Amino acid sequence: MRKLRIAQGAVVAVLAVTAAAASTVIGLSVEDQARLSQRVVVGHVVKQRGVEHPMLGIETEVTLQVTDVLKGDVRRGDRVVFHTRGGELDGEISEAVGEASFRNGQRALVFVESVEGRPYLLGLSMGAWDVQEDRSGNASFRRAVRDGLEVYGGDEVEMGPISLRDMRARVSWAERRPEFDHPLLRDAAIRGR
Amino acid sequence: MRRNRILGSACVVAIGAALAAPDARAYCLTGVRWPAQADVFYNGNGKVTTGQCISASQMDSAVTSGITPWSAIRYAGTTSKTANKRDGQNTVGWANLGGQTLGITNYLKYDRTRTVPCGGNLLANLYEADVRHTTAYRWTSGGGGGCPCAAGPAFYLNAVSAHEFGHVIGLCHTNTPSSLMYPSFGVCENKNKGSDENAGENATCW
Repeated sequence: MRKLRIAQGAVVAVLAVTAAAASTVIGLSVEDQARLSQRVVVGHVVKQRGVEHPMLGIETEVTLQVTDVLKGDVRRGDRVVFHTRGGELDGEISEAVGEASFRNGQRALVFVESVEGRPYLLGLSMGAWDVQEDRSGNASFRRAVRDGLEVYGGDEVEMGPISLRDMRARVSWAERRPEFDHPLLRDAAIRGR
Repeated sequence: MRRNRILGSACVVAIGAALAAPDARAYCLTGVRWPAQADVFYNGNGKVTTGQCISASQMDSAVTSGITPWSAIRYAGTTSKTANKRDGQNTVGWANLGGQTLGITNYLKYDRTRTVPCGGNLLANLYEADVRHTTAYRWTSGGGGGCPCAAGPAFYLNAVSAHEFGHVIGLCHTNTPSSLMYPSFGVCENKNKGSDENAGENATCW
């Protein structure tokens, strides 16, 4: 479980506005995240733009150039588009707390789900992982949760690092065994409305 | 898209003045406060009423009950406006937030250029914030329904709503497991505003 850094001492004089409040997600295993995801891919962020959904407000459309496919009907070199639940459009900003924040050129592992046919990053920033490479060029991933993210569940949320090889194996394993780890998700009636 | 974080990115936890007291409890401030009591409107359209532990009206009550504990905001009635739109109105509504997300709070307008003193802190004035609860999961409430109910396990809507509105008034997460703003709840776990949140709210000068 992510622990907040508690400032030692008295009241902090200047408070930073964080990722703006926070939002609420369920803490899930990597395998359950893979089961919920339509696509799990590694790639470089090549484009971001603010869009306005008629019912869901300002969002960010993120385009990723895929370098590794762990799950989904996509190939290396393809571009994958997904949305995050906040953004900037025509000078107006909506900050969804706990949502991931990307920069162009950044390499990331993302879990992308389909919500009513529209691709979203799964579980706000719980669906985004930073990519690190060792001297040999071997990639590993650390969960890129943002301050303010709410983890709603009793289980420890694995933060990484997880190697590309292990992540690929775990996502593949989850595809072959579709039963969810989280008891709530085994209750089909509670989700997938 | 890169978010505009003029005032910083770290989550700073403020400890109450009674730090040395045995029962001193932590709270966390996001760095914003309401300059005046803010009206919050509810849009109940789109909520899923089948398969819930509670009735449609109990769902509505549970959502709005999350507003009332906080002094800086007040329930002002229903609206047809949509949450997460910068329209000058604070709206709580419903949306399918996918497989892992139960609620989202969006800050839509706060002063990005200056802060105002509040006790020992400098906070930015907040002018608009919206909340969305998910339609994808089963809900119950402390006002009835029980948990698990006949339909199965559920999340306490009144607790999640109160938690989200805690963010609306300027609180972030604490590491006190019993507090409303602790970043982990269990299924069927109900929580209410307590001493942590009272101290936090006081620290926003409300």
